Amino acid sequence: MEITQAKSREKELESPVFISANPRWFHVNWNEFWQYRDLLFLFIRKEFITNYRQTVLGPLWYLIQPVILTGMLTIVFQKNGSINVDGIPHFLFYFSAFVIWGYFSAAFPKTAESLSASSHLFGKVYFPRLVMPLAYVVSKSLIFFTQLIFFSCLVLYFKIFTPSGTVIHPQFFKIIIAIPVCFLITSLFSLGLGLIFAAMTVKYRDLNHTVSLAIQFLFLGTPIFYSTRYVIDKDQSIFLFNPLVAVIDLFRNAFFGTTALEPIFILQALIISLATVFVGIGVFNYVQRDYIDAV
Amino acid sequence: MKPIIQVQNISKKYELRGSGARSIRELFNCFSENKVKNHSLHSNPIIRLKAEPHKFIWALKDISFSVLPGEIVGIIGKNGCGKSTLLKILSRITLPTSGEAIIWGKVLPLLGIGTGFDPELSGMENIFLNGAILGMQRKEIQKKLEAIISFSGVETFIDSPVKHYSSGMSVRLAFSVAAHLEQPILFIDEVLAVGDRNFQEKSLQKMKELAQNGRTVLFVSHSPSAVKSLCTRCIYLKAGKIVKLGLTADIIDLYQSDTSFEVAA
Repeated sequence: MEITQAKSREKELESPVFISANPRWFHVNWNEFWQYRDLLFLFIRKEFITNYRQTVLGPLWYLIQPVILTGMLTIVFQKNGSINVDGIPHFLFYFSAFVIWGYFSAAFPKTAESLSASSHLFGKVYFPRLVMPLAYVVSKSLIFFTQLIFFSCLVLYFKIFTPSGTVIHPQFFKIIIAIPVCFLITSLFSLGLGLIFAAMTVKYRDLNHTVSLAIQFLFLGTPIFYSTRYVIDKDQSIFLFNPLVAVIDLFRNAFFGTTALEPIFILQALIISLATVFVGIGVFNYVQRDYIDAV
Repeated sequence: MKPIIQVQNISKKYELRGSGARSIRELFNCFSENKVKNHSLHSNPIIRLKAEPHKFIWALKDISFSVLPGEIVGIIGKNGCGKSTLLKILSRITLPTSGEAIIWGKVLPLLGIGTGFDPELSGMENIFLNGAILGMQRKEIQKKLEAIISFSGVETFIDSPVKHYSSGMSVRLAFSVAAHLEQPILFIDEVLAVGDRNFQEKSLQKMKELAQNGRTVLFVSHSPSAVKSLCTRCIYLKAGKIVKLGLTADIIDLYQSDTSFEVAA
């Protein structure tokens, strides 16, 4: 057959494109992906620009929002002794979780809509569609870093200027290790979960609602306004399927010196996040091939 | 000379019911409506489709052809004959149901003008974004930047957001980006139908220029005059099948007699 002959000539030319009815569905052409790195960069830049152009406060909104939420939680829970915060000042304790949670809760829903919201684009032109969710996750990482800087200043302030400083024991070397680990696991989990939901929402729009449901579910299932140990005594196995638990626990351990989970749970969180990414890329890649017929 | 585009037995089947029930409510509506409005089953096409869930059409059936490097091939046919579907498959926007194709080289797909233009970004930023979406690297666009801007004729507004542009201006800028990209293979889907008459002529001229640089072009249109002035060879599609493949003049004659016959009938 002519095409089979043609395939053998593949190496002669730069980039021949094969089109067939059943391409291998877990095959991601990373080479091609690399050729579109400029596009990835430009999409990230576009996200930044379109989010802040014509706003006065710009990325400061990433601080205002968690500060208000943290303030609310503090007001509600400070007088209530039943919620365990490991003796850390309430405001600081809650805000530490928002560094992680703020990033996840912005990146995950955005990634989840990367197929359904871009159909106008994907219906007109081909480029590796994984570029889109990746750009979303990277652009939302700005939230993590702005909040991290603000949080570090908060910790310093509480440590030096308030009487409760004696209960906070930041460990410098642990912090240096914890930050990249926390960032990596949170990014992977947001991306993986987002990709899975992106693939599912294409066919069943009903699942759009499950994204916000998942967010609310995880908000309660993540130790944001309580300590990990508050739940861990009761039933840890299900609770620890959420990688964010170990991430926030590690983060607090590094900054406050609170008792941490065993390191094996960090590894478990990493493996679960990697698994979601793996599954996510698989289903996303499978759906994206002809999803444009369905939207 | 070996062909640059080879298409073998490409077929595309569409389920008329689309993607299945879009929501659970629709799923229930589907049953209840059929019962209530049974008498109007044949007058309302949407309900009729729901009632026959396994209906499908072949948008393309056994399409095979090949294109040599440097050829400008027109694909002509009435609305809904599968022209656009064919280009979508060859541009890898969707999959064929069966069949294979192979394309030797980078493709510049122009299935719509201004794809990925963001109204919030400036003209300059959009040039780079649009270029990258169409498969060019930053450096390559950088080289062409001046030419792109001067051809578009929006120099003075290049740093203001595209949302403040008139529609004509943004179309000109978008076309200018597309016209200055350098992929050896070009897919054009009636992009020329956009813009005022003056701009259409200008862009048609530019298309000819591009084509004469030895590029390979697949040009989809239902307008015989545009095809006549551009293409050397032509494919006449009807209801998803190739009616005839040959020299432009012959195909256009056939197409015109075919359509005028249908109008008369």
